[in-house]
Amino acid sequence: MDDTRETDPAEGDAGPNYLRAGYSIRSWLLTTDHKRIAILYLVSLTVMFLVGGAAAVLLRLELISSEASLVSGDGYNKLFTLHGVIMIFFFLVPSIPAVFGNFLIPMMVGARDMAFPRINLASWYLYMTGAILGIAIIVGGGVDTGWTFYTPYSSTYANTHVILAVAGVFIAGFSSIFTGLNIVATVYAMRAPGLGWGRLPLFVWSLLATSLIILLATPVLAITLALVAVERATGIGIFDPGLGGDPVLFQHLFWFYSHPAVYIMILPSLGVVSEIVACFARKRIYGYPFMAGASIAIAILGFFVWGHHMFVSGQSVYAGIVFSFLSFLVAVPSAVKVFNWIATLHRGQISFETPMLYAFGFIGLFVVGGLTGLFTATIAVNVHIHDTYFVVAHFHYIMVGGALMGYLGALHFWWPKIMGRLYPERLARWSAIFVFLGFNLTFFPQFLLGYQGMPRRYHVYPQEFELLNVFSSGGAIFLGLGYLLPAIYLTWSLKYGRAAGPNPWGATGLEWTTASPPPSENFARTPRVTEPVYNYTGERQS
Amino acid sequence: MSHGHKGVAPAHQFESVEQQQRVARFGMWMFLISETMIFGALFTGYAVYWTLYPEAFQEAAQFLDVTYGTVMTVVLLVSSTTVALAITALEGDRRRLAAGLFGVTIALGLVFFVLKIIEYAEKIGDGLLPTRGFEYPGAESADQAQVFFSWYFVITGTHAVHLIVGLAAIGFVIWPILRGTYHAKYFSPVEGTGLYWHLVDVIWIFVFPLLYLMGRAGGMG
Amino acid sequence: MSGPREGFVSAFVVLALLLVLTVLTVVAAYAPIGVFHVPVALALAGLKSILVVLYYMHMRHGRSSDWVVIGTGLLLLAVLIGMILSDVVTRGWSG
Ligand SMILES: [Cu+2]
Repeated sequence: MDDTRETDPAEGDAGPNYLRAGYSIRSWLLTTDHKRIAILYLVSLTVMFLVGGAAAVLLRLELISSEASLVSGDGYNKLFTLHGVIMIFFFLVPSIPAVFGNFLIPMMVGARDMAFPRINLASWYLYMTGAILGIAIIVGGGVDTGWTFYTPYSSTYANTHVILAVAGVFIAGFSSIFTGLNIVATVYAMRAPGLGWGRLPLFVWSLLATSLIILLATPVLAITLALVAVERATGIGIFDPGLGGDPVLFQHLFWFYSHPAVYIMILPSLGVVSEIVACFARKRIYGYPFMAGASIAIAILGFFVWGHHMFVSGQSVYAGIVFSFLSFLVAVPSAVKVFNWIATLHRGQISFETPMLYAFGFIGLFVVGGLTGLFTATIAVNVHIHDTYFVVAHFHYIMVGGALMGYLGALHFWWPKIMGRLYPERLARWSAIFVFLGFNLTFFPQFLLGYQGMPRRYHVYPQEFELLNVFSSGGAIFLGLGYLLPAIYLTWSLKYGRAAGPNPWGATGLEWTTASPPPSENFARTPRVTEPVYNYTGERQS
Repeated sequence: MSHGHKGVAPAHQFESVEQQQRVARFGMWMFLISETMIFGALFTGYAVYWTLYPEAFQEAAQFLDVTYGTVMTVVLLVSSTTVALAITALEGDRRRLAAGLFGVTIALGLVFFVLKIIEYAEKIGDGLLPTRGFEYPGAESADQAQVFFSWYFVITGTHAVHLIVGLAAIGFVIWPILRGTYHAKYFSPVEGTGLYWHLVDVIWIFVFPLLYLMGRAGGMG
Repeated sequence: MSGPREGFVSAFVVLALLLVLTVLTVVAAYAPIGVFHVPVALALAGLKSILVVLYYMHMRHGRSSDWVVIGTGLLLLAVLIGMILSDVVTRGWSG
């Protein structure tokens, strides 16, 4: 860590830190600095998360009692659609790539910026356009198709703002494509001297895999939703069964994106957890090539399994069997990841700072989410639990227990780098524990509810399901608190947090060799990499 | 590491102009592949319905005009050639020739577009616009024929949108070429524009036989 | 870059080939070749595309990284079309 001390946070010779490069609104809205764009995303994603979260709170409030107490059936449909659309397309899909990918990828590869800085900024504007359309739907009275926009309901029958909603998702999709393209180009062409493929942090590998999916799957979703909008607006025959159209075709095209989209959400978190586990176990990641390879394998295999969402849709039985079998295969690289983390922890000098708590939380929840995924991928079981709360619980374990825990872990791990301030550690640990317990209390009962046969997407339900629903709603309160606390203490730390110094965790990786917050050009001079990746020596050095 | 060519400085994030051009090309290829997936999805849908309704689709396909399709194909192939020639001219620093060839490309693109509009107008005049008021003179299922014409309009329409984007992009590089912003040593945006135009051409190379020429010999397509 | 990657002449030669292949495509469409219409049309279109990609898009001298992008894209395109059609084709089969 000798070179860390060369660049003093106050007096780096690469100019002032990026936060001080300009204070005007204009200097933020027209910036092409990848770090400032990351901050723009952080702020806008947080707003969208609050909107999606508010919808979730209302859903859980309604479900406390088995009768319609708070909202009408229509209102409930609009709420869960809003929750799904906002959380998936406007929070989880962009989350880690757009915030931490943007901030960290150029720094991790030792570059001064992304390969295409202006496209990077344009991508944020596209995201904002989509997000504003998303918000406009709420003002305009909502949309009730579910986040899946299934035809023919969306294309023919729904009388809510479907076109507005799909337009928002369409535009946000191109925002993701541009982010993915930038990430791949940056890693491919702008690595510092000495930084071979075998020395890239696993976070970089996981974002490469994510970008691969974004680039190849998002266009299919975009054109499919565009077709829904066109059919709805003009009455032509694309999916309309009245004319002989095939709604199952819509489901194929939709899930060709939307299954891999789960990996768009989870792969970046897998990368984050690898960084955190190595750092707080003070050990080199066990089986690095397999970890990198597993990310790519998950991305590729993820394209072969989408039909497991369609076992009861009228898809051919033979296709169903093939899709079911292929789905099991994805468990292999996922398990490789988990076993390698455990092997990394083995005989490590483990300490339990906040990011590590989130990483542990992630691993546990990811395992539960992954294993229940095997249940749902089994055709015979699937027929029983299809469209029940079992599925809801399963994908929340992956997407909230997995992806969101990874996001929060990343936020805490790199916050000192991004803002140059430390957050209050004790409070942060408590809130991480809150999140973990609250999450399980919210979603574990839903496995039981689903297994007992409670269907998803209803605002009333038989009274026998009430007790478990009360548990679930109670857990949601803890979960909400666990999410609010970081928003408060991280904001607090901006002014009152202790200065972090370049490398508070004693972590390896190029981003920790420069000042916190980094200067506009990231490094005083182009770094030269001479050490292997994750060169942890056991003792923490700072 | 900075070895700028004759005073050509790379953008601040790059070490050299060579690196910048290499990355731009790589990025453009990623974008083109994304675009290809859009048309891949459309062709998939179209193929699904051919599989489901072969008789109706075969009959409906006969209502497309092979002459229009062929002429448009030739126009687009020639326009791709003029783009290739323009890049060669630019690489030899013959900027006015390059700009002129791009001008020809725009002219050809507009010819294609006008032909497309005339063709659409004829179809609409024949009552083949696949929405309310669709009047199908064939013997097979009119509903299934409506699905065919829906895909015809969607596929050729999406292609036409890409054509317009390509034309606009070419329009934006002509003046900077003449002014010397782009020249033999640095022309990434021009090259990207050219690649995009070629993709529009490649897509049409598939649209032509798969829509206009299906089932012409009477036998199953 | 040092000098043009492709000459003017080669562009015209490629155009001539593309036009010949177009004529062949039309002829094949009217020929009595039964079930081979689609494979032949796709093969000819593929050939034309390869010419455009290799010569007009300069992939004859392309970098391996650009080929990786193209190859991955085509693979996923095959997955998309192949797996969806395999469902549609097998839907009618009775078990
Ligand atoms: Cu799935």
